[in-house]
Amino acid sequence: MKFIDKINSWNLYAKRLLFLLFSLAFFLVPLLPQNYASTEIISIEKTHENRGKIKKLHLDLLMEKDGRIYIVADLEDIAGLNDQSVPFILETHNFPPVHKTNVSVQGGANGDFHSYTELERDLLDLENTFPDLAKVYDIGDSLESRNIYALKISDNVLIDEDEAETLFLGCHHAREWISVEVPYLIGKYLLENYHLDVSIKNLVDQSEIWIVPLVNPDGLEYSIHFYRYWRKNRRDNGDGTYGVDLNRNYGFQWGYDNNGSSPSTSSDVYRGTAPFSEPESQAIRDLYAQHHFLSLVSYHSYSQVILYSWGYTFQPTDQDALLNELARNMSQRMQAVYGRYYSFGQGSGSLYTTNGDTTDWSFGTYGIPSFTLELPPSSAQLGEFFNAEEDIQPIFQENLQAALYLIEWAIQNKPLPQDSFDKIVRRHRSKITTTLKK
Amino acid sequence: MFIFSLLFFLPRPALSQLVLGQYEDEAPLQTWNTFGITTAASLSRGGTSFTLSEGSAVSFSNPSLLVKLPKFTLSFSGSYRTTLLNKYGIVNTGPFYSPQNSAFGLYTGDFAGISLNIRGWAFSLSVGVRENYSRPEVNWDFEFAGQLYYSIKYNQTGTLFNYNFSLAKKLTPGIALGLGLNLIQGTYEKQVEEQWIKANQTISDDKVHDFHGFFVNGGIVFDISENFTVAAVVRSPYKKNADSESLYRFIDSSIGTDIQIDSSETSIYYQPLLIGLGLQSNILRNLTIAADASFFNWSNYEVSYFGETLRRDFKDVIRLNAGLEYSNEYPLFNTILNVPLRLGVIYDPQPMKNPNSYYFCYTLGAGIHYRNIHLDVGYISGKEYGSGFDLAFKRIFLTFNYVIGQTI
Repeated sequence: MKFIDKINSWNLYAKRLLFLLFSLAFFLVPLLPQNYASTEIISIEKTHENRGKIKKLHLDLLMEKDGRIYIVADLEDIAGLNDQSVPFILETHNFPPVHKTNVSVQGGANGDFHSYTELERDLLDLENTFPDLAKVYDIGDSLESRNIYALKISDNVLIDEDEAETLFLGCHHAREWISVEVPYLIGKYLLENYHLDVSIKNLVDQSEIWIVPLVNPDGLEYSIHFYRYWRKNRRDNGDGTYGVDLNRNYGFQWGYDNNGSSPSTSSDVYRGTAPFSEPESQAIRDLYAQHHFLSLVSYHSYSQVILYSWGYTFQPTDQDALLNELARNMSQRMQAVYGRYYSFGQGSGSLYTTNGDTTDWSFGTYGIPSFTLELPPSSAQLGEFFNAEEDIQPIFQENLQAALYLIEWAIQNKPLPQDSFDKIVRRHRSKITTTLKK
Repeated sequence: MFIFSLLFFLPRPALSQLVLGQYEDEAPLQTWNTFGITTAASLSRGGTSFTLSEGSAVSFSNPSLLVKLPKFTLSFSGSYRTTLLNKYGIVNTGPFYSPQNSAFGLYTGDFAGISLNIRGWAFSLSVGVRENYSRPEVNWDFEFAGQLYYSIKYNQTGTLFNYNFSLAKKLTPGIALGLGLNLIQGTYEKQVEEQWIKANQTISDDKVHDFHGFFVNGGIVFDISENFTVAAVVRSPYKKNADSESLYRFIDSSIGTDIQIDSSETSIYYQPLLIGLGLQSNILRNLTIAADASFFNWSNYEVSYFGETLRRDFKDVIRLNAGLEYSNEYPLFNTILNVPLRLGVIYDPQPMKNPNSYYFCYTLGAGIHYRNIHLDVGYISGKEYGSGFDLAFKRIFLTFNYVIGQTI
């Protein structure tokens, strides 16, 4: 019941928002992009009086349901209803949106989850649909020559502006299918709501959001076609074993010990022969070299937990308070959506020690808040690396709030050109310290 | 005696690899180049089947040869093969490592058909096994202190049948034309299942394809002289369609978790055009040589798997077959006992570009043809070059023909 209540409240919120936007559309319609629909679907109460008015206005009836008449109306029609003092409700959002991207129904053997080619198609579709806001980059090739795609979202997307850059990564581990969906859907949401939600527009205008939903395309394909629980990439280790754990292959404290990663090629956490030995992790390293990211989320599953550095040691970082505060705020925002609680804490203490992982490298090398976000389920008994298809949207919706928060945080904390990031962090830390003292 | 001597050659499990360095599910057992239905006689003659006829199996390769068959034939053929595989399914591709190639033995009924040949017209009705998708099973348990903790199972089976109706006409005394209509039908099933016994958890991955499709094949044979024959054959490109179902499942029986990710889609395997040329010559009264060349247009091969296009980096290939047949005739009870002996070689390049790989095969065989009964045995030993896995296969065929009338 709680879940349904949340959906209903979200629907109500969406209705109000769209009604407001619709009203604004009367004045802003000449400014809207060409690909916007010129018609909306509205409903009015089904009464004898209203029927007469509809007939007089020659409106395009869609259907009747639950005591209401649904109408496809353009602005002139709606103005006519206003003149006739007929109250109406905007219903467009309850129907397949005519102004959205091509509806992406995943085929393939893996149901609603993306495969490599499906993701490739959908990313390019976003780029084509929103050419001013989205640009897809091929940031490197996997071992089996698949492209590793990065979706950049920003206004003036073709220009590298001096804006806050946030990075979202997905699917370092092949079997964690949900970790492709969440970052992809975040990107899709930002693009589709840019013109509908002023707060989204503000975020996109003031930042550059980078999304790499599939860091390990070869592994994902192998997981779909041959062995569902495959984790690593598809490196032939030359001794009959395959795969390097990409999330142990980054170059900060790589191979620190044999607990947080393994030198054994057959291990699921095999770290590879050297830091960044794998083209997939190299692609992420090179992307960092070209940009100034201010925050990172790397999506994984399962455990339902937000992790931050350090992972390789139980010692906390010197920015533990900041990282904890950000994680707490993300968790609170996620819980507010459907009530699902994501615990949070330092990686080594909350789950297990890891070395050579993305988050430690990102934080240790660039000093930016970096999080490993382990998506649901919370326990092995509830599905381990399996998520039901109907859980994709709820998981995305709650994670969206955390992502928006982090983008906002990056914008608020973008260093002035003359500042160093350390200054910003120090400033922020002093705020937190003050807060804690209170 | 000869047959028994052939049995001596039957291998310890020998090797064959179908998906060289790759792991595509749809790879047929042994070779990708599956044109025609092999029977003992043609197989032991190096697989040549474009210019020489023995039973209605010719309808799968060159239906025009039906006009050279006796008035009536009834044929059955079966085989036993032994292969080793290196990479397939979950074996030696990641989760399951086998230091040795996996042995696999398989009996199959390969072919059955009848043909009629009357006044220059001939037709046949046949069914044959075009492709087999079976793989060695994997059943592996992890036990500790006498208790079972974990098990993994892999099982893959499948067969593609080819139903053929062919019609042939002798156009002139030396030229005949034939056309075959082919329906294909078959199934493919694969299951991977893991169990964590103590945790009461099971994950599984099931795939099922029900195949169907249609194609035509045709051929022309031209007797240039009494001792020299040429032939040309063609098989249309076609879609091997499949109604495909997939189910991934997680079960935790301790708390009743059951997550299913299922899908039903159409899969399509675009089979390539084939064009072939064959020649045959009677260089001595009892000695016939034959050679075939088959062009497989694999570069146009495409796979739409559950509605999703998959990459297959294939190249065109030309398979070469060559063989000879020596006929020994002995009088027996007022009639002739014919004992043909056959030898041959096959060069069979595989379509994948990486690794560049081919089979080289030796064949031999013999027959006993007495009155209406023709019994043939064939044997092939193939070795693969290019993959580095030291792969090979061996197979013995037994074909029975009941005939009324004389071969023309």
